[in-house]
This record gives sequence, structure tokens and C-alpha cells, in this order.
Amino acid sequence: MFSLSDLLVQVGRRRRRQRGLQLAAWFLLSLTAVFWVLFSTPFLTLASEHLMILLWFVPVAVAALAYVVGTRQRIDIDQLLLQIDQGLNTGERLSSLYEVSLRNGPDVFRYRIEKVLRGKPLPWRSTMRLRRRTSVTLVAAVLLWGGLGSAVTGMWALGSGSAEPGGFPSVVASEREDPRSDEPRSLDAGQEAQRSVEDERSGTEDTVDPTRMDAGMLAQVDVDDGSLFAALALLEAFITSETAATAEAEGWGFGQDSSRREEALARAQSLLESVQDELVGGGVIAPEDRQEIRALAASLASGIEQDTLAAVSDLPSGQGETAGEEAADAGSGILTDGDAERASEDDEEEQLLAADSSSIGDSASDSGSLDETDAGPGQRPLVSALGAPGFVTEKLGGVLTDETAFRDLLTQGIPVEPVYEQDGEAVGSLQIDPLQLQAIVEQRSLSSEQRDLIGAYFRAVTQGGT
Amino acid sequence: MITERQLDEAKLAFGRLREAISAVIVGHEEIVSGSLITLLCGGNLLLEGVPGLGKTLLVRTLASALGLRFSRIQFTPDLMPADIIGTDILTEENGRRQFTFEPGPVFANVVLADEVNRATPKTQSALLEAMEERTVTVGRATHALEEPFMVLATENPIEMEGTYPLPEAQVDRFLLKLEVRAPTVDELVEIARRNTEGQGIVLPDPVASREDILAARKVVRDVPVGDGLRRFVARLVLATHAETDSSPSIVRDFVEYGASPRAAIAILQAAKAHAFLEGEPNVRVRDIEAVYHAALVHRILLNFRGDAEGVRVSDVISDVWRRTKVS
Repeated sequence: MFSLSDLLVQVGRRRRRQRGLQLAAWFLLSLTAVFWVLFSTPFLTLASEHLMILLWFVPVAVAALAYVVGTRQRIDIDQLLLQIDQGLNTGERLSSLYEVSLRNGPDVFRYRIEKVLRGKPLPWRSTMRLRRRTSVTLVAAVLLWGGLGSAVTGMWALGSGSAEPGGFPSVVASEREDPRSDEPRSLDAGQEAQRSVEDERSGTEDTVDPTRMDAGMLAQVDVDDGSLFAALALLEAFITSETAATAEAEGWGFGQDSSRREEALARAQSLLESVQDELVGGGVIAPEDRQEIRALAASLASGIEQDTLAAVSDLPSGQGETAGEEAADAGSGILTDGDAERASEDDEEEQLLAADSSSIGDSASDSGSLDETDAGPGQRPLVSALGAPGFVTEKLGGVLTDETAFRDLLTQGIPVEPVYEQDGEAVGSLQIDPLQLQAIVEQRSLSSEQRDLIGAYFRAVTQGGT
Repeated sequence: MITERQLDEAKLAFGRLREAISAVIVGHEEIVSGSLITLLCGGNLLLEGVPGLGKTLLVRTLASALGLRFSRIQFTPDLMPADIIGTDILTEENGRRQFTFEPGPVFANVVLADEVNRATPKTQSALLEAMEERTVTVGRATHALEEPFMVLATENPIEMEGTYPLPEAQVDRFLLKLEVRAPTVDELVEIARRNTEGQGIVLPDPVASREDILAARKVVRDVPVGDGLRRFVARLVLATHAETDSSPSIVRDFVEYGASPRAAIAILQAAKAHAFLEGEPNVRVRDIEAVYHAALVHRILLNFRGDAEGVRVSDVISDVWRRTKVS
């Protein structure tokens, strides 16, 4: 039985809800977007967790208010009925009937129109669907807000375990920081990049490893102890390469001794799990765990050293030995702080410390060149292999002999960064930033053969990029 | 308040009227429909077409079927206003001389103003008061015209030399303007048959009375139209104005003057009459579409650029319709 009054009530209610949703969706999306921007800036990182949670609820509260306001807005019932008429192709009966209903007393036209309307179904709801734009806005707003919630709660969880008083550890800030920064946490980015390169090479996807520490954890560690951070990163790299079963997995000094490898892997996983629990629980890593981490990392590092030396001994004379020597130097720089004094005494190293990957652009304008004829006797012209577009050959600071220092093999454009000691000060040793190196190599669109050659070179001289 | 009986009787009367006209006029459904709509709205109709298409016959048939008084005025350049509205003449009664008003041909129910654009503007304007006010003023006396009153004017689009285009104010007083087209082959065969066989064209006997017309007008005025449709009509009319934001580019470029508010009234009135003739209990978009063109085509004035580039008012109107949303 058709009833205009019922229809008007239902149509009005539906339209008011839609108005409310429309307004709420818009406000939710706008405010959530604003908060996303705010959360990615340093302003909110100083706020307390309670304020953060409170701020997270602000968009929803405003959206709820907007919904209420939207449902109370005046609706144009004439236009609405005409819209339904158009949608249902009723011959504008509903809007006309409403017009007639406003007249006083019985009306022959009202009777005739109602008679026509009674005869056909009126699926008017199909003509009053939420607009696509509103639906999309609403879904996007909810997803964005949910994501914001995850970010906030994640920060809150970290913040509750942080040793920093009254604030969240700056996860977002640390993620935003320039990987070329002189902060120790850039090691984390380097390790991540290295891991991703390894995964890419092995053709495996980045599997979720329960023992793998997230960026926030590592960032938290480095605040306390730079070398411990490096050790943890090494353990993590080791676990990743082992679990990924890549060729690199054999480069940890275990050779064919699988039982030792498995034992080390289990130990590393156990240690990382333990550290993760400790960080979540109290934010402090137990001294015995620290010792064990360092010991295991040192063991792995020495394994790498042996493997690298063995590998470079196969290279042409001079280069391999020098590279192995320097690799050992660089490796020990991270974990044992060895040879730091020698490097810190050199003035030229200060220039190299300032060298940035961005200087590769500058180097392109340099006129330095290294012909094959410039190479000394018995030296392999490594640089000439880089004859790809964008590379400018440059004369090395020294010659490749058994006595060549690591710094002499560095030219402008090679992304190096200093090695840090516990107190956060640079000790003078240098290491290659694998992330930047990877970026440079990819930017040049080199062939895989050339990439491998560059990789071999840097592994040789820097002990696997560390 | 309209009753069921009044509604049914009005419908029946106009059904009979349409049948009677169709028995004489072959084809021209749009013209017949337009004439009935004009009659129902109490308006005036402007017909444009070359001679010999049956315009005069249509008007005579309509008047005959209604049993109303019909008069025909052939407009010529030397026609004077007094020839239309009448004049005071000196008469003598019982030895006493006095001026007596002698009504002109405009004092009829259905007036055919044939080739109205051939008379001077002064004479054309003599019809203005009759068309709009339904009164005629001679000297100091104003005489009311008898309802129903309707002027059906015809224009000849050819032989334009020596013609006087209708003043804008007068054109605006025509409810609709319809173009009388040439008949199709079948229609022409039927026209020839009816005119050459038997007793030829016989005008119909009256099938509806003056009261029927007036009652039907009352019914038509009550046909409901939604407020949304009224707004739609208003938007349509405003879109013909170049200065309106919602007007399409063709209007902004080529239109000098858009349709007047009288156009909106004409569209709604005519749409109601159309719905009534279609047997619908309310006005639909389809009804508006049916009368929209005829109600606007004579109310829009192109600018010099539009004339120079050969833009037609019909194209402007069609574009406005396409670009104006109903809801």
C-alpha cells in the first residue's frame, strides 16, 4: 500500500543520513590527513602518548559531530522526490503528488496519481545510493584513520618501553633521517638495504622473521650503544642470509661446517628474540646479552674476514691482498675498533668524511682520468670496467700495492661514512654505505656483470660492505 | 476544487474537438495540438509557414467545431488600427445624432490575423491590448472581449520585402510559435482526395461549447506540477540569458536577449495543457519538452554575430535543453 507520508519520512531520513555521512567522511578524511602530516613532522614527536591517543580520536569526534550536523540540515524534499522520479521513471508522479498533498482538501489529481503509483513497485532506495565520491571518501577516511591508529599505537607501545622520559622515541623522525647522516642509526638503513639487495638477488621475497628486529628497535638500541647496534645489525644480516639460503649464506666463515652454522643461527635468533622482549618489556638489554651479542658478532665478523681474505687471494696480485688487508681493517673498525688511530691521524680522511654521495654529480665534471696506461705494472685496471655512461674515470690517490691504504682507493663519489665508537664519536675509520652504493649503481643502469664487478671490488676492499 | 466529473467532461470535450479537427485537417498533429493547448491556456498562437498549407482552414475548423464566432483579418500595409478594433461612427436615432462604437473584427472568439507581418507596426500594435488584456480601448471607452478569445496569427517566411517584423513586445504575447511544415506524400494524397471527391471540405458541426472550454481551462490550471519541475523550467529560461552563469557558450556567444519571465509561465501553462490532453494527472518532463521549443523560439533574440554566422534560435534552444539538468 503506497503511502506518501511514509515515503516522505523514509526518504527524508535516508537523505539526512547521507548528508551526515557525506559531511562526516569529508571531515574525517581532511582531519586524518592533517594529522598524518602532523605525525610525520617533529612537532608531535614531543607530545605525550596520552595526548597522541587523544589527538587520534579528534578526527572521529569531529566526524561524529559533522554527522549530527549533517543529519540536521534542511533537505529539499521537492528536489529529492524529483530525483527519485527521474531514477524510477515514474513520470514525475511523486513530486507532483507531494505538490498536490500540500493543497487543502481532497483532490481528484491526488487520487489519480496515487492510483497510478499503487500499480507499480517503487524501489526508491536504489535511486538514493550514497554517491561514489562519498563512498570513496568514507572508505579512504576510515582506512587512513585506521592506519593512523596503528601508527599511533605502535608509537605508544614503543614509547611505553622507551628510556626517554615523557616522550615517544622518534621512530618517524629516525625513518625520515637522511641515510647519509652521520648518526649511527644510518647503519640500520644500510643493513636494511643490504638485506633487500640480498633478497632481490636470491629471488626470495622478504619473509617475516619473528626474530627480525624492526627499525624502531634498532633505532632505540643505537641511542644507548653504537657498537651494540652494529653487532645486532650484523646478527640480523646473518639470520636473514641464512634463512634466505642464498649464496651469501656461505660467506660467514663456516665453510662446509653446517652444524656450526646452525648453532650460530640458533644462537643469533635466540639473542634477537631475547633483545626484542627486553626492549618491549623494559627497554634495557641485559649486560650478559650484550656480551653475548658482541661475542657472536665478533665471531661472525672474523668469519667474514677469513672468507674475504680467502676470496680476494684468488684475485690478481696486489689488488686482492690490498683489498683483503683493508677489508680486515674496515671490518675490525666496526666491531673491534681496531686501526682507528691510524685512520684518524690522516688529514685526507677529513676530506673523505665530508665526501657525500651527492658529490658523484660533481665528480662528473671533474676532468680527472685513469687510462689503462696509467695503471702500474701488474695492476688490474678496475676503473676502466666502469665505462658506463655517467661514470668519470678518476686518478686514484695511490697505486694498488700490498701497502695501499683503504683511503687511497677511495675517490670522489664513493659513498663512505665514518665508523662510530660507543660514545658516538667517529673513530676515523671509514666504511662504505651500501645503501648509497646500491642507489648509485642502480642509477647508472649498469649491466649485471658490471654490478657484480663493482660488488666484488667493494667487498674486497671493505669486507662485504660493512 | 476540481471534481472527477469536471475532469472527465473536460477530457471528453477536448477528445471530441480533436477528432472533429482531425476529420478535416490532414496531418499537422503538432499544429492541432498547439492550437488546442493555446485554447486551453487562453493564449495566442503564431503560425509560420508558406501560403497554402492549411493554416486558415485549421483556424476555421477550430472555430466551427467550437461553435464560436470566427473572424479573419488579412493584414496589408495599408490596414489601419481602426480596421481591426473598430471605430466610433456618427449615427442618428430619433433625430438625435451621436457617436456609436462599431466593433471591428477583433470582436470575435477566434481571430485569424493572416500574414500579420504585412501590416505596419502601428496596426500590429492594435492587437496588443486585445491579445494581452482581452480589452479594446477606443477613445475613452474600453470594451471587453468575449471569452474565450484567441488570436491565431500567421506569418509568411518568404516574400519578406515590404513586411514589418513583429515588435518584440507583441511577439512575447504569443504563447507558442509553431512552424507549419509541408505535408508528406501520404498526407498530400489524402488532402487532394478530400478536396476533390464528394462534397469537398465540410467544416464540422460544433462539438464543444464555450462553457466546455472555460471549464477545461479551469481544470488545466489545477493540473499539478512539482516544485522541482518549476525550478527546472526557471533554469531553462534563465539559461537563455547570456549574462547567466549557467548559460551554455552558444547563448553567451550569440544571444542578445534571452527569454522573458513570460516564457516560463508559457512553458508551465502549455505543459499543463499538454499533460491534460495526454490524459495524464500531472505534468511530466515529457510535457515540458513537448512545448519547450514552441514557447521559446520566438522569445530569444540573436545578436549580430549570431545572425552573421547563421546561428538558428532552434539550435540555441536545443543546446540549452541538453545542458540543463532536471534535478
